[in-house]
Amino acid sequence: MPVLLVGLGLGLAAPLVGALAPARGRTLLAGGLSAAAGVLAAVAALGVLLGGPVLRARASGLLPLAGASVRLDALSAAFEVAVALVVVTAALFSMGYTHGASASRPATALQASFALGLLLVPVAGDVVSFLWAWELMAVASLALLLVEHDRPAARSAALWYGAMTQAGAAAIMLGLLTLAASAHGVSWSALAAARVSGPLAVVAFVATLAGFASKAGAVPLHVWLPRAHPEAATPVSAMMSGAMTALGLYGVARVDLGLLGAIGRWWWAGALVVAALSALYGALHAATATDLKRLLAYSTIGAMGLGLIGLAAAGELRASGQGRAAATLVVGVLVLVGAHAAYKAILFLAAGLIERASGTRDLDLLGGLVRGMPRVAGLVAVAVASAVGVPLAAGFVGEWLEIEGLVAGLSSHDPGGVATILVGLVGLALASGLVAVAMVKLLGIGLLGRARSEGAARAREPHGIAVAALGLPAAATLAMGLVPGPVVAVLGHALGTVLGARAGAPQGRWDALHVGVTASTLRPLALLGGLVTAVVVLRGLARVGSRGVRAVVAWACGRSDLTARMQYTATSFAEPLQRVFADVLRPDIDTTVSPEEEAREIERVIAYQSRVGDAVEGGLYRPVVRGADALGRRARALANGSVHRYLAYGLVALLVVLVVVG
Amino acid sequence: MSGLAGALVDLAAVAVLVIGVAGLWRRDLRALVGLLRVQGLALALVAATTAASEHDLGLGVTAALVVVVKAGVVPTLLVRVARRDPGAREAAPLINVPSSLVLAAALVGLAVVVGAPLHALAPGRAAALAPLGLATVLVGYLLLVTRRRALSQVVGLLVIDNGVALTTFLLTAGVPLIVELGGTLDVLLVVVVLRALLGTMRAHLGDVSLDQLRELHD
Amino acid sequence: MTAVAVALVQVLVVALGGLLLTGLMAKVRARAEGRVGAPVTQPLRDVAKWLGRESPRATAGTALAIVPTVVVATTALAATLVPLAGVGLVDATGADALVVVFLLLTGSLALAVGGLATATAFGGMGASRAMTLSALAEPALLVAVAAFAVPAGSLSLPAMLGHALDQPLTMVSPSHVLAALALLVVVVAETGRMPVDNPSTHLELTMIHEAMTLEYGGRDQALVSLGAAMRLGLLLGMLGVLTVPWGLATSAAPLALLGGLALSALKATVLAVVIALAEVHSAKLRLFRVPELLAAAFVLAALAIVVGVVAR
Repeated sequence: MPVLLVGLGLGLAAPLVGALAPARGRTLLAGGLSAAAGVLAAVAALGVLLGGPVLRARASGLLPLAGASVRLDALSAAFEVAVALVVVTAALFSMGYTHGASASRPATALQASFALGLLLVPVAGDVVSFLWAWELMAVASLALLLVEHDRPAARSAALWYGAMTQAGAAAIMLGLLTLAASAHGVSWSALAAARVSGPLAVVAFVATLAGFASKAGAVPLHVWLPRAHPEAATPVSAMMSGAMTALGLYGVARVDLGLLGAIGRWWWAGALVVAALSALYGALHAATATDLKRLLAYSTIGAMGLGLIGLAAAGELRASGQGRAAATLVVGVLVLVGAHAAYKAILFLAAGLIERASGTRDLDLLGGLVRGMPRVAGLVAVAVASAVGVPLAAGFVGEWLEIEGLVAGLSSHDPGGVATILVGLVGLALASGLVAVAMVKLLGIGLLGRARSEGAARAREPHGIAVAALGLPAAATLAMGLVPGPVVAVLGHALGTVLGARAGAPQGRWDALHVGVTASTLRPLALLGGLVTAVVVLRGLARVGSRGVRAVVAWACGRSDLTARMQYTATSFAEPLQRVFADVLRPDIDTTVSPEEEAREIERVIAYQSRVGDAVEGGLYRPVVRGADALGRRARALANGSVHRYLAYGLVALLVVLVVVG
Repeated sequence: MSGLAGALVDLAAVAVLVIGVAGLWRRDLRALVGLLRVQGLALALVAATTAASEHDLGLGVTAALVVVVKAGVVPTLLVRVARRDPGAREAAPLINVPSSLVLAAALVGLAVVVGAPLHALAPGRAAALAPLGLATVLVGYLLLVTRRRALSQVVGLLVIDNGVALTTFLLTAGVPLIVELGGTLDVLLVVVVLRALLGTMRAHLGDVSLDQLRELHD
Repeated sequence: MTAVAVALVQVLVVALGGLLLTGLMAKVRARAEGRVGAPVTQPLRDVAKWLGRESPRATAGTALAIVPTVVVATTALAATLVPLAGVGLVDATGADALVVVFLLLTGSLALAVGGLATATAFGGMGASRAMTLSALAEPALLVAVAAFAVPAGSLSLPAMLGHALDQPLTMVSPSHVLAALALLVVVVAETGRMPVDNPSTHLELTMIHEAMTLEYGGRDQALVSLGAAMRLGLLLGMLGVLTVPWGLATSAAPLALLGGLALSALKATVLAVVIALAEVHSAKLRLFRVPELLAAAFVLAALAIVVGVVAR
């Protein structure tokens, strides 16, 4: 317990130091304190995960209404570790990366507050503390977007983010207060004991799910995410993407799965369909995006969609009596959250380094970075391997567990259940295929090949802690991928909180991971052994017969004058997919042909422009925004500046109150 | 019903459904009619196998009738229509092929979910398959809704009819012969009338693409 | 010990068999088209010849150096996991179907990354097309695998096959047949055969797989070709044993294992001949018609699972 409290204390000190310290050393001090807070919180959480007692603390005077309460159980700990990994990495990174305007007092203090909010959400022990922590996280990140308020894109992103996050918070508050009112208590344990069910539970389910899913970027509540994540400063966008979205999943696991009593299984089936659609939508947009950070933001929607599929399927399966398959799914989602936190932190932070080194984050202008930035390229390759599900990296373990759980869920005789789970499996499969396209594009177009612009050709990687910090999540990725057994074994402790039972939890040893419901085993170390053997044999063969390697100019069917412009670009790479899914993406394609002056037959310049906007935003939100705007304009007639009219409003209001009350 | 006969009924019933879905995939009108012929045979196989294992003579006669009408007469008539414009293909369907295939899969899922209570109408292994008949009906409707050519719409109609027939075979294990006879003859009549109609349309308009009929409605 | 030996033998059989099957398919096509064709052992000789040559590498460097090794190593590792000889062995590596699927996926991702690393238009084009198709094939592949897994309730390949051997009637169940058909289409797409890709062309409009491998030469080319052949052999072998598992050894007796392996090779050969004959009679699909084919495969796989609920 002291470890956790000291950690949170350090986290609280970080914003104060950021606000008060002089410019020199401000980022170092605040970043160091945030990182230390993250490390201590992670240590406390690991203690709980390894079987330690649940940590509880209360301070009655600290917050209004119910006081502040801290509670660190296994579920909190699982998410706390993932969040702390991102927070520590981002804090260390910004010690070497942040300078200039983003190192101002407000920016430093806000970033430290955001980190504190992220660390507080999972350990909040009751509804009131949770809502405070949630608001701290939301408001700090919103204010961080406004730090660069001189850019229109950042302002518009902040507007969208502010509206969506506050609506989401209101929905969550509504749902949680509904629960608290019928449970006559605000602590998680009181709510869990009450097992609220019936219509009120459905209200709470819909409200909290909408709020949490919006935070996790579920379609159609995702519109803020692809705007806000790319616009924030790099360490902030890493924390938003790797940690904050994951807390949406934490909310679903904690409240909707963990606290609510029986609600109809069809509610979960509906959630599953939304989750599958959102995984597909995010992955598809990631595959067609050409802006590096936008690609990453959409792939976050895809990855969180996979997590939501797992949780919704777990809810459905538990309701139809297949708790063992549900257990596998929940553990899979927890692994996926950790894996995503690690690889998304690497990718976002690397994107920031690339942007700073080359001056652009447009994939169509990048390329060839592997020569100037070899260490960053290596780290990105590890992250990409994890994201696409290469066995031996963390992402695969999560995806594997989730598919095992879904297939176990398919083995029932209940048609409705099978059809629902099948939707989840299909969504997961197609989304993971599309994410693979996006990630290959990121690696192959962004980092390999030839530089497509001056900036990319000149890009060099910085030295020091900004790159070294990325080693932490990379190491976590490989460790979780190679030795997933112990990780899964300790994550199983969280099942009691989420599902109420631990039956069917995947079992892990140091060298193997066994899923009971599908009687299948994963042995990554044996796979690694086989792979190393194969590589050694192939290398040996090469030694025996070989005449070595000769560097040549690329052949390319006989052209010797290859230029960088002849390569495929990110736009052309995704063009086939964009065409296949044209109905969903609705791309805006513009082809301009300017003919040669003298001879009209010879086309001189063909300009091809393709822009993929967000169809949901255009189709669903624009009309609402326009309507609200029109309403606002009309409402202006109410306030025409006449004092008499305003006083009359007051009189009318008073009369109405009198009539209603009397 | 023995294990093998049961497996045969399973396979034939699923074949009826899958051939219906395949109708959404093929564009060649002649191939569509060919699919219809095979679907008739699969339907007859369901009836014949059930008849053989239940020793039901009436159902056996029905099976023979299905072969003659649904795999013989009707497709032959349609082939004659199709032959008048050789190489005729379905123009771009209203919904593109991958989407309509995925939609068909969703419809089958829906049919299996809502058709589950059908099993309660009749005991036995074959009755459990009844949702497949319902699914065939829905797939036939999809074909009917999304196609532009009159002929492919006739095929859609016939797929619906085959779905209805499949459901009745599976549920009642033997419709009264007279009912099946009536139903089959109805379909035959529809095909004959449509064939005459199409011939007249072609004579007057030179084409049978339904999109061009929009101006005829008043 | 037996398990390790069997795994090693399987890798060798898949490598050798894959090369021979590639040659056999070319031969069958040639004969059906009235040509004599190259001998069946031609791919084997080619690979042997290239292995002794030096490897010219385009400027891109490191990525191109790793890719061929990754392709062969992942495919070889996958070959150790598929029970081509028998299901009774104590499995030493966790023969999970998903691991096989994702190992093969790793190989194709590496190839696509290599295509982009060459910085040529062809490499990028091949990578773009291959990734598009592999993304669209993924649902069909995973759902088909799930359809095979559902009756046994396990995604472990020995358990799936063992269950099918115990209950032969599942082999004629509709969901089994549909899943096998779906897997067949996916295998045709994933191995780059007609009507998805034409393995014997170097025309820019039609290339998919070949476009990514244009820049390899010498030993690198040998490894890439070997990897493609092993992929063909492994996928055909896997399709064969999943569709008709008869003949797989259920004990660890060496003779039974040898017989099982021989029978698996025979099944793969039959499939290869059937696919080659079908290729003669089919034209390559336009790239944008291939999604229709993959959607059809996906629908077959999904029907396999849905139908399995009512007819099992």
